Amino acid sequence: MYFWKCWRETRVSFYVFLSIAFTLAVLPSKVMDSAMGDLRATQFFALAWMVLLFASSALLSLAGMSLGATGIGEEFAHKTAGFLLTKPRSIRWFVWTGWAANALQFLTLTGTMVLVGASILSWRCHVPITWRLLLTFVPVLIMTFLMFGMTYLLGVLHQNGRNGFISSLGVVIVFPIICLAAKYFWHIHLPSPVDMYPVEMSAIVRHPELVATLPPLWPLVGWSFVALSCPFVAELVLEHTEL
Amino acid sequence: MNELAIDTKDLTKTYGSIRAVGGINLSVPRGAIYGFLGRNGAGKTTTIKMLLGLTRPTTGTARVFGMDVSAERISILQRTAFVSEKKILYPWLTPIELVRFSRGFYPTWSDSAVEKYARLLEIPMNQRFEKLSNGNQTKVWLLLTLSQGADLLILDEPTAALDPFSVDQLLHVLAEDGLDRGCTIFFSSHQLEEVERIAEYVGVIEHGNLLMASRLDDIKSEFRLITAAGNSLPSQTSPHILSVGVEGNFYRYVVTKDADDFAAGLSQNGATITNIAPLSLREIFLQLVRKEQ
Repeated sequence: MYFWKCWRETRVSFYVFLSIAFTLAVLPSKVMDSAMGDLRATQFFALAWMVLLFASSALLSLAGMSLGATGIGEEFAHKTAGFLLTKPRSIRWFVWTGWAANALQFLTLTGTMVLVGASILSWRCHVPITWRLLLTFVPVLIMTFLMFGMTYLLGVLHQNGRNGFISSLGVVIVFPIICLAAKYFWHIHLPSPVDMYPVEMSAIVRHPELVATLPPLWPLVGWSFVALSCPFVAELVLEHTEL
Repeated sequence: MNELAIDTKDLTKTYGSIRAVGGINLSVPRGAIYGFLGRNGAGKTTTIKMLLGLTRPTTGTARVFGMDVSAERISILQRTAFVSEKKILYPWLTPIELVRFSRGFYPTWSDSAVEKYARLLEIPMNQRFEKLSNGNQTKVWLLLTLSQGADLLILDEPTAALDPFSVDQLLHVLAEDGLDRGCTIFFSSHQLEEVERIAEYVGVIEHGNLLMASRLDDIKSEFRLITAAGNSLPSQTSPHILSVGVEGNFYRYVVTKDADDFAAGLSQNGATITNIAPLSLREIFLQLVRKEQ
């Protein structure tokens, strides 16, 4: 039904993202092998892990935005909302079924990157993969759901998924600038999704053991809440939308 | 059990200062075929959207099978099939995939009906929706609607874009299969001949107001065109005189009720009644709309 339709609509994008995810998972160790082969194994592993983490974050955020743009907002743009919303299901059911269909895809993409990337790096550097290391990918997943939720909500507000994507891209560009400006001019630290990532790349070379630093709890909780709030707000907006 | 499939009381919808629907009272009996007539922008689609819960009434109430459209939307949609005015569906899906998508929403769905109507309406089931002709796109909507096993079909301009042969098939299907199942059919149309062919009840809406709603046979038996010859005959309209046309000594009256009594009154005033003729639904519709203007 609707779950299948969501999958049917996004499966091509999903396969594209999956192949990119697979490539990105393989790439860091291959590229770094030729460029930084002389680094100690632990340094090499830590750096490659961070590259994998940030590459995953960028790719999955893009995937989140792309799939978010295919939500119910796009039904209004295609004028198919009248067909969909006369099916005997609640708005809540449509929103969360779509969310679940996309969540499965994000989990698969994240899983692919983590498992393939971690396996290769572990084998290359003889470093065991621990739960602490795997947990460093939690911010990536939350970031993906955040991007998905934001684009979904903006698509619903615009009643057009493409415009939702463009607005979301605008937020991704403008929000960090606002955060930087607030910090630079007024010394105010605005909450930002970047807070979920505990370690900077520059610190990793000197202290490779920091790679397994667990993400801070409260930014994770806060941004998870924001990510889950977006579909709820979209649901409320849709409840009050008339065709 | 509520005997009405659709029951509205003073149903109103306004958009800012524009009154799209102005307090209409519709009563559609269960099992009836009801033709909902009106010009473009008369308020037909807005009324239908309110019945389906896609738009909220500004004031008034609407009930479908006794259920309030605002409070019991999902229960209503479980028993209602709908063909939209804009026959747009997911362009990348084939009719088979659209069936697959729709099937799971309805416990009363019938795959044998899908086969039957796909064959009858000659729908290419494996072609993407966007590649289908306008007529076939409309047929896909109808296929999905008819296979749903609904108790109420709400069809907004169902025959738009269909060729005469397909229109004939569809009307046959609606009249035969729909009534066999005891289904109520509420459909809007501009094609008055089609409505006249299958509808049992007719409602005419203009500028958001319901000008007339009654059994078609009653309407056709009451509306009469009376042609009379004489001098100084009445030339004013009244609640029962829809229009008066004067050509020389000939007066043409369209009366909505008691035509024989009216003709007798004219005769007493010295007029010669030259003809009393029934009107087609098209003529009645045009007269009503002209008067409203």
